[in-house]
Amino acid sequence: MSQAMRPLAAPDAGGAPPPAFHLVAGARPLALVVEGSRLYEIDAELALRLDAGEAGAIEELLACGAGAPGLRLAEVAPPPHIHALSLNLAQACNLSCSYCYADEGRFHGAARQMPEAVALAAIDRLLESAGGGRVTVGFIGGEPFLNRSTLHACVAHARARAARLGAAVGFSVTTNGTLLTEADVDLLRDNAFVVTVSLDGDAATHDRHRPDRHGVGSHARALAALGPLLADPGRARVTARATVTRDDLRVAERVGAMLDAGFLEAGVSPARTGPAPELLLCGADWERFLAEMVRAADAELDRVRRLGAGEPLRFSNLGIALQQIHRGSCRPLPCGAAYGYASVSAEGRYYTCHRTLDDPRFALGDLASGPDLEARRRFLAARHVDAQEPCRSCWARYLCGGGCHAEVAAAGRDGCDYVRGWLDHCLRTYVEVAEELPWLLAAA
Amino acid sequence: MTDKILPRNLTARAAYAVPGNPPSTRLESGVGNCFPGLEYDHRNLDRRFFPGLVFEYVTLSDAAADPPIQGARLLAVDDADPELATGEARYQALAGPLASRLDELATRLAPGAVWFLSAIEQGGRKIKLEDSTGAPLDGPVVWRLVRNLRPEAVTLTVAPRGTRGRPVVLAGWRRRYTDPETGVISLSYQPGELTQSLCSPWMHDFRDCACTYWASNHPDIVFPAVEPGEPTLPSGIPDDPLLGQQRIDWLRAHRARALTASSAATQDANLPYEMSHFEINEAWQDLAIVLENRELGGPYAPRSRQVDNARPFATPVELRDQLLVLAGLEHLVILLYLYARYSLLAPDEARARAKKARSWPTLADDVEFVRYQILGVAISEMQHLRWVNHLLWGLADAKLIEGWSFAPAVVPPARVIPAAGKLQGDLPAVLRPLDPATRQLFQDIEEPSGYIDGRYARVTATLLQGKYPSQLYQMASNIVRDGEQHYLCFRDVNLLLSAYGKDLVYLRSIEPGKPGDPAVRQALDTYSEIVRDLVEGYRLGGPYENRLGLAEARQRMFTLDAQAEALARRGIGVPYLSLFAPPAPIPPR
Repeated sequence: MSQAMRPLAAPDAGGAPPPAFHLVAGARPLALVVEGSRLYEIDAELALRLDAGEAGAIEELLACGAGAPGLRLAEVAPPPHIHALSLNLAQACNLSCSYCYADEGRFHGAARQMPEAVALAAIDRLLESAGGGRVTVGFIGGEPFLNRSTLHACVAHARARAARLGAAVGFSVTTNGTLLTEADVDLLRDNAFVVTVSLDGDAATHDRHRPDRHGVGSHARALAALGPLLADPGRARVTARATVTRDDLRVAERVGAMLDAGFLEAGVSPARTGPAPELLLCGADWERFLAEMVRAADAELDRVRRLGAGEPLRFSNLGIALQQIHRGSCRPLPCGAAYGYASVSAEGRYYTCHRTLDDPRFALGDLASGPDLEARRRFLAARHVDAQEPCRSCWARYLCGGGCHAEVAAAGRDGCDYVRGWLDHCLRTYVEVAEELPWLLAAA
Repeated sequence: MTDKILPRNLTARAAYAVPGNPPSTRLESGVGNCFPGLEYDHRNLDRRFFPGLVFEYVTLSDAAADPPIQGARLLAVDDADPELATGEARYQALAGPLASRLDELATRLAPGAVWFLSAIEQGGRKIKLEDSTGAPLDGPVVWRLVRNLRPEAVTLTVAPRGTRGRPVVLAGWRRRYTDPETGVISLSYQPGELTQSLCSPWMHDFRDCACTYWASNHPDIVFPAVEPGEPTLPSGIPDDPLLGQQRIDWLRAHRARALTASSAATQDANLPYEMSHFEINEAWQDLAIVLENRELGGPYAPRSRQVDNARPFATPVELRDQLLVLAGLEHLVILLYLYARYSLLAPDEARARAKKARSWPTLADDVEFVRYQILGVAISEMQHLRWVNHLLWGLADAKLIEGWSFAPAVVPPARVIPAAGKLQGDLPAVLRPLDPATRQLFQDIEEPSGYIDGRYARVTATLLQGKYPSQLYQMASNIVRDGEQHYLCFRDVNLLLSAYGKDLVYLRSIEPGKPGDPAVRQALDTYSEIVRDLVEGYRLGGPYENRLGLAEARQRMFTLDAQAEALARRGIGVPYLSLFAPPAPIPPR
């Protein structure tokens, strides 16, 4: 999704214009020009002048690229057809994770499974409206493998349908991993699934918040079921994602444990929403969490340096941030929700993403009528980062995008300092990585 | 001003406006011409097609150079080439050994040593850069070969010339010139490198542009300026035919007007007579402004032409009736001109006659010229016939005349040449050979104050009025413009053939053929078929013309040409007008 820069049609409604650049202090001062997310290394003298707000210095910096200060990204273009769809195969789960935003998969309703007919119909609609090209079908829950037969049927159906239409289809699944059978593993391997496994770290850390229905920690079971897939992923790409709760903000240890368990890549996500407020990060937690993230990032880079040229980055939060900075990612939204991506509930209703299922504020229509274009446009216009407070005056807005819609709707924007701090760290890291570890940024 | 604002990420690098470079050096604003180029010469990318090496593509200008200087000359080894350190992962294994080889090569590039690319190998195919005689391939040829390389592994051989030395083989790859994701140009190119071979400023290129982009923007051959007080035709052309027809080189070095242009076969051969590089740059103000193909000696005064003063026809009905008359006249003049054309000797006949008489050494060229010119005018009139039909159709389509719908106006041809201008009275139309009287007649028919021109002027003036569809005016204007060219053409022909005086040595002896003669019949049948094809072709009119029908008509015209020529060689002219009812006698004045 590329955006053109142009001034807003109407003058900015009151207030100071948004910052045109951001200084990253340090031994190697950097300046991030917000327009285009352009990163420059500057000398100390210019850094001082920029810090003092000297107009001449600002002009010098901005003159390095085309354009003028104070521009904002244009409105989101009319969204294309949805090309990525996640299917909530089972609004139900075999585990009882304490922080689960999905209320043990139920999304605050009755436990239910998506009928196969609904799933196949959604896939058909996805392929037809995408008109050739590439689509992605994702399986989520609850625990999608509770509805194993539908999942397998969907894959076969999607492949056959896509082949007939001359389209390409990719698959993804988010799973707790505990229910995987040999047939499931083969399916994942053979169809090049992107597999995201919810794992929180080592056994103790994981079992603290991820027990099954009987209160028994699920770590052992998960790793047992995942063993064959980790040993031989085939064409699948398997990552682990940990949810970090405020009672244990350590990141490096979690990531380390996951990598030790055999995952080639691992990342973390701070818990912001869910049924247990005592687990959600807030207030002073963010500063500590930032420190933990920085520590984990540094540890990962040390590991890469030690192992030398060609060694890939395995801490995915860092990897994603570095890639985004490298490309100058500059966008007014945090993700593809409602733009190119939508989610389907067990009843066959569309929502902006997998985290807003059954929330009427994020409804987009039903299978009969398809995802409503008007609803999508309204949603995207309202969520544009320049229409959000406090985002519209934040230097990081086009890198951040405003934060997860579902999380912000539920919990507000509490962790902005963390986001900015993390980006600062990644900006500094980026410059070093570009010099010392350039293979990490080479085109895939 | 700070020294250090270094772009670090891809968008910063892509946006980086090199201080001092104008916006036109950025690819997104470029025209992307590369001959050598207006903003950016992309051939400069190929100078560094191989990491670590810088080549120059040298073209042959002195065949006798020893050692030969053409080919891809190795200028330098660039061990700071960033591609050597951060190239694609798939080349990692090659990078190390390549770097060593480059170091070795650098030590051997002693001052004065001349090294060239001698072989390229990719995908199992190796090309030695020399022709079948062992001579090195010319620079542009090598460049084209380099251009054909894929961005994959490449092995090169470079060798010294003129001195003894072992060639060096380098295994590397063809550089990707731009980042495949962002389009940012490889950092190996130094500032200024891509634009170092651009086109010179516009004045210079008026003279030297080899792709003729600039040449297409300036006048080439023009008519000289009219001296004040010089008598002119209504269109502004000098009345004196010699002055009126003189053509001169707009870029001529000698700025006086009395020099006829000639055109040698190559740009180089013409150059000595044109302004030089620095003259163009220094004295470009001396180049003349040209309007309507003529240099302006003074302020331009729009000339008053018949068109400006013509009286529009009162009604669409009158316009239509006049167009019908004009259609008949167009057809008539086609026949007059064609008949006259075949009365001229063919060049081979002329050569034979001249040789026999040991005189008129230019006769063959002259008749060839005149035949060509007259045929050209005849074809132009055929086009006018078609356009008149278009005009009629346009009138009908605009529904300006009640109860009238379009029908093709092709036959019959007019039988009378109306009085106008130098023609004092109506003349019966008679097909005649191109003797002096006929030549003068043709000139008088086409002259600016003649009937045809005057009528079209009124047609044009009429069509300017709002109620007529606007495109009809354009079409009519084209006919008027052509008319002047026909006049000039006949004037040229007249001038040329007048030199032969009273001897009609350029003519065949032609008599009108008898319709009973089978060969004549055959030619007349072809002519009838052409007419029929044209009527059928025009029948639906305007954009619905039957293109196939018209194409068939054209095919038959080639046949008629062959038949008429064959008859004319036997002294027989095709009596086209015999197919039509004889004209009413012209009442005495």
